[in-house]
Amino acid sequence: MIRVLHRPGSLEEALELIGCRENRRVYAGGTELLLLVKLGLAQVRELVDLKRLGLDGIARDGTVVIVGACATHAAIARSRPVRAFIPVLAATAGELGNVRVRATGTIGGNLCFADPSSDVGCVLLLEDAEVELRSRRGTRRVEIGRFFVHAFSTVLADDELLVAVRVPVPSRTRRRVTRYRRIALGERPTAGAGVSLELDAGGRIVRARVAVGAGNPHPIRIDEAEAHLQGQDLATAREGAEDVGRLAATACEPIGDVHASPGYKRHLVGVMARRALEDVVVELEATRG
Amino acid sequence: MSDRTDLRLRVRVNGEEVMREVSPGRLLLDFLRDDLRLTAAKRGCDVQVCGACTVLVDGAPVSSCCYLAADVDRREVVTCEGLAHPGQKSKLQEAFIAVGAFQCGYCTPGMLVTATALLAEHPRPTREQVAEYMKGNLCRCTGYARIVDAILLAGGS
Amino acid sequence: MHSAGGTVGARAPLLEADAIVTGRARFTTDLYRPGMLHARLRYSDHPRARVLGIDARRARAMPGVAAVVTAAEAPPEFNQRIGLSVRDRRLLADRMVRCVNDVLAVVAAEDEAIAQAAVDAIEVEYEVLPPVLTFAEAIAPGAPLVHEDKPGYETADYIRPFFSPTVDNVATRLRLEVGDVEAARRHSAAVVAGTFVTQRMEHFSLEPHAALAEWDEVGGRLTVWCSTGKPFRFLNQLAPLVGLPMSRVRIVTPHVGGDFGGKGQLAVEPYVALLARLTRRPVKGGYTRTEEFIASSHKTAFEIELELGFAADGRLLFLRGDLRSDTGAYDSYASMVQIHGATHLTGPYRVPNVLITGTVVYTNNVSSGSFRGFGSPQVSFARESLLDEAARQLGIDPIELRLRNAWRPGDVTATGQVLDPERIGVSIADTLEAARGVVQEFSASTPEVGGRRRGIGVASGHQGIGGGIWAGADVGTVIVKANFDGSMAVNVGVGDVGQGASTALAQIVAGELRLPLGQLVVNAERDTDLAPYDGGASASRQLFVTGSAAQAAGALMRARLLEIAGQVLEVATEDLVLEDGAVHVRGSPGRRLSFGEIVRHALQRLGEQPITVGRFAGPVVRLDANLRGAPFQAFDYVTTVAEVEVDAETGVVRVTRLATIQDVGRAINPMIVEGQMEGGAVQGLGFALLEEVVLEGGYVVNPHAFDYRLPRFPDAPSLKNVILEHPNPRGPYGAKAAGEAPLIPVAAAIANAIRDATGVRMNRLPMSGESLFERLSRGG
Repeated sequence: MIRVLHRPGSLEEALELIGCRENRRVYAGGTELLLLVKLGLAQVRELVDLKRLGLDGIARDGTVVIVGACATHAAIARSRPVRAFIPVLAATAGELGNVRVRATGTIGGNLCFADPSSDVGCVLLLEDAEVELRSRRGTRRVEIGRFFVHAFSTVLADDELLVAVRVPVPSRTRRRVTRYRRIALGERPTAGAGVSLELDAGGRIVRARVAVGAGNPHPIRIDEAEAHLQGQDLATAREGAEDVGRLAATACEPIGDVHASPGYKRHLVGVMARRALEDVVVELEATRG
Repeated sequence: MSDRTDLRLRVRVNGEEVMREVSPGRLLLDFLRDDLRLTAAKRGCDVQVCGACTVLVDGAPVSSCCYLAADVDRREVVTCEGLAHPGQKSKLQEAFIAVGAFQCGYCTPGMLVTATALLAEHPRPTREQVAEYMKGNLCRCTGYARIVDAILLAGGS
Repeated sequence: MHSAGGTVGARAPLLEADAIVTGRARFTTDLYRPGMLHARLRYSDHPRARVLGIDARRARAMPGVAAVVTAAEAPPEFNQRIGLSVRDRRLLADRMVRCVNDVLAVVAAEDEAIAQAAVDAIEVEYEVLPPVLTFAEAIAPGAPLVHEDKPGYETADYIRPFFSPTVDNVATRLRLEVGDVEAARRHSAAVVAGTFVTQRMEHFSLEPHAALAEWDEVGGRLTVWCSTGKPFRFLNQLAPLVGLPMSRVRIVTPHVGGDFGGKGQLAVEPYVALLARLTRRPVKGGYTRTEEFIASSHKTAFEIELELGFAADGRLLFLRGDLRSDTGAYDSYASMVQIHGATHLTGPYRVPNVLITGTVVYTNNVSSGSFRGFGSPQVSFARESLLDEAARQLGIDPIELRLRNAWRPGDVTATGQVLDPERIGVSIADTLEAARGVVQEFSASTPEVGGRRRGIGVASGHQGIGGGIWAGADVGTVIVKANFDGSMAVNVGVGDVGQGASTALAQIVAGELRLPLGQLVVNAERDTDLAPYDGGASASRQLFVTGSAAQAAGALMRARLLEIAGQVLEVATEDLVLEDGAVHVRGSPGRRLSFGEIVRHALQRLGEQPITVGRFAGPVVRLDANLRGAPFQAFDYVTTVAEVEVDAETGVVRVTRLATIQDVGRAINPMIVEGQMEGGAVQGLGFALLEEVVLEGGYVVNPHAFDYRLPRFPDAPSLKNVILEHPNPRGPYGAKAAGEAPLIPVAAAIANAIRDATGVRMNRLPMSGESLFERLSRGG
């Protein structure tokens, strides 16, 4: 039963409030937390509202786009810098959940909740994003790939707040395309995987990212698949699409649910990874020269 | 109850200023229905999937079943009762009637509220845009086609 | 039959339209009474257990708790066994719990949160017993008994011939035999066979069950507002449970937010009634969405073993089928669903030799029962899938194969009902002929999509009209009262659950009286104090039965108005015509009396308010113990054409187009009919591809909207409606029914389209991405 609602007006105040009491939880959109409270899956006596800390800004700062933790999915989908520099994030945010969840749910809430079916974490992984964590002890930046520990579990300490997501702006001199593919058999995504390729002037892949989102307990990169693509040209990459899919499928450890068994999810992850790669190749070929 | 800190809430609901004390955990849906007796927003699934409880907060559609009343403080809420002046109907409401976009009518207030936000965002939407925007609103009666038709009609598409 | 003015056949908006779009329509849950308490129910924690003790002391002591009632405190009449078909359930379990929706206690408290906290504070001590969970377990020798006292259970007379009175887990058994199947098999040129499985499905009316009870201490009367289309069925059931004569119980149904077969049995109503009497305060209660999944019954799952034999020219020679279902712990209607399914198993086809057997068992699962279609969608899935296979085997076009076997006037159904064209009408062939055009249209106009496999499938079905199997005589009554100004009040007892009953009935009365619809009002709330008895919204019966009563009431009113006008004008009634709310003298322009003038004359001079009572009663029917009889008033006929795209890599099927071709006799309101066709088509899509209530160990695994996949906007295909109107000789203006039929063939049409696209025959619903993927990767 929620007894107290704290509404800190500054980050300092918020940091003071958190981490010192059981049954006290932070929230912004509330789309995840209030649901858990209603379902009886979370015991919360005190809530700390993060919406008045000015953490909802989205801006480009030199070589990074900084997305405030309290930016809603809808705001991210609409944001000019995100659309311009990290279009895959805008697209993913714009398709997440439903229109109401997008209007209230925030990127920070999504990441901290670490739902295994989240797409956002995977997309950030493809773009080498970092999260900025703040506590009264100081600030640290964590690569998104090190942020997730397992389903519903992150490295965030009890006294820490995720305050921003930092996404590097791709270099203008190189051509990078990132695509995320997902399939939702139920209300939430069943399987999702993405591929990001960057070509040098000669058309060689100089940066490859392959990652699995929904389908694994938390977003993971598929190192072997990336290595498989690194240094190739697009034609070879396309030929290896099946292998990339297979590597992604093999690397993930899906949790079954009422809509899909682990084996089927694994298969779907492979299909999504392969299709994402094909999308990327088609896109890069279209923009060639 | 002694340890509970109630909050004073000031909110515009359907254009009218409302001041109420609410408990911190009070859900917006309960506040609207039980405290203000605005019952157009319905409890359908209780887990923000079906959209029957949709209301606008500062113009954005939210699931009032999973939204704190406290979070509408100093903001503007519109429910289905507020989509048109009493005795009048909006273009969208007229369109829903004209094409027969409802049967039992339980999901309809949520549909209308969501569709109002949709048309504010995309004044002349395509069929695909409507389906995508509305996909979080469930209807068990109509098979959806007529709801899409009604929205397209109201949008002049 | 005379023409019906402008109202019959008009695309009139629902009478409730303005209330609905402005958010002012009041559903039960929108009602509040001063001093109202809130009820919550305490359910069993185990699917099968002995209850050793219930300790509610802590709950009772909680501030804000007004009452906690267990079987020990409930009055004896409340503790009697109840049930629509079999009295096999107690509202408050005492010594045994048989499923997780058994209720052990009810609480009334100042608000819902307190009530829930009190429910959680009730301590129950169990001796947990191993549950019986599947059909096979239930019929296994030595299986634990779900009901030890079953042989002594009271049964409704319609179920008695099928009820198994022995000490076992069998609820009912059926057998229908016509001709000689074994002999026919020997003469068959082709035999196709298969086992088909359908799933449990949740009705998911957007409005969950809700009820509000108020006890009037002074008048000694109980009023219960609730969400059902069958207010009189509820009155009949509820009054004995609270120990009151029906005259002291009043059921009122405000707007009802969907039904689909899920709101036909008492849910929270008796509990809030009991609590209201005990606390002397109004008590409101309702199911949460999760309770909808657990406490209200599901669509009955069928396992169907089916075999069809054909002559070389495609004539059906025999059908052999075995139906198996699990009703769960209580038989609300699963047995009747199976019986109805058995009567529909042959489909609208001539089959000279038939052998159908069926068994329904009790288990410790939650209950299953009725759902829109009442067994017909399940059996249609099996039969129409096999017909598709047979067409391939015989090398006959699937529509042609169906046409060769389609019912013709004068044919006799498997139950022995003669398809007398003077009474029943037979038009399945017309829907099939129309389907040819649709198939051509679909085949011609869809481009092949890259990487996806496209397919088209056809399936048919029919649905018996009328609740005679249950009710004996199927009765509808409609009262029309003339107001002082000549407008009319129409009073009906059949519920409107969103299917447009009020509007259609008003259109029929308006048609008889040549009145604009705006001159009529239909009682928006069905109030059993005021409304005439009606069998309720079920069994595709309202339009045919209550609609006939409405037409009769309208005709009687017309006759009475003409009679009075004739007296006033001193003109023979044959020389009078009724038009525009007035009676005119034929050939004498200007000599007229408005309805208002007639009514005022009647009231002031004759001392009479014109009130007419229209009645309809179907013939008394009953299926005998051999499932023989003529149980239906008429049949709806429907053929569905589905077009699908299969993503062969994932197994995910997208339905791109669905066409419903349905003979409704006469579309009283085409917009309502189309709404029924479209809604039925998409519900059928959910049945075919998406929806399943998953049970594990007697518990529902997915009792939340986020784990139960309902069709959503993007799932809805392009929908095409073809309404055929072959007037039924006895229906009002020739009308039959609209609501159930369009759902029936959808699953098979989609399955046949998948077969067309992939070569894979799916025989289990839902045809999920995973199940199709598995079949595809096994090579079909």
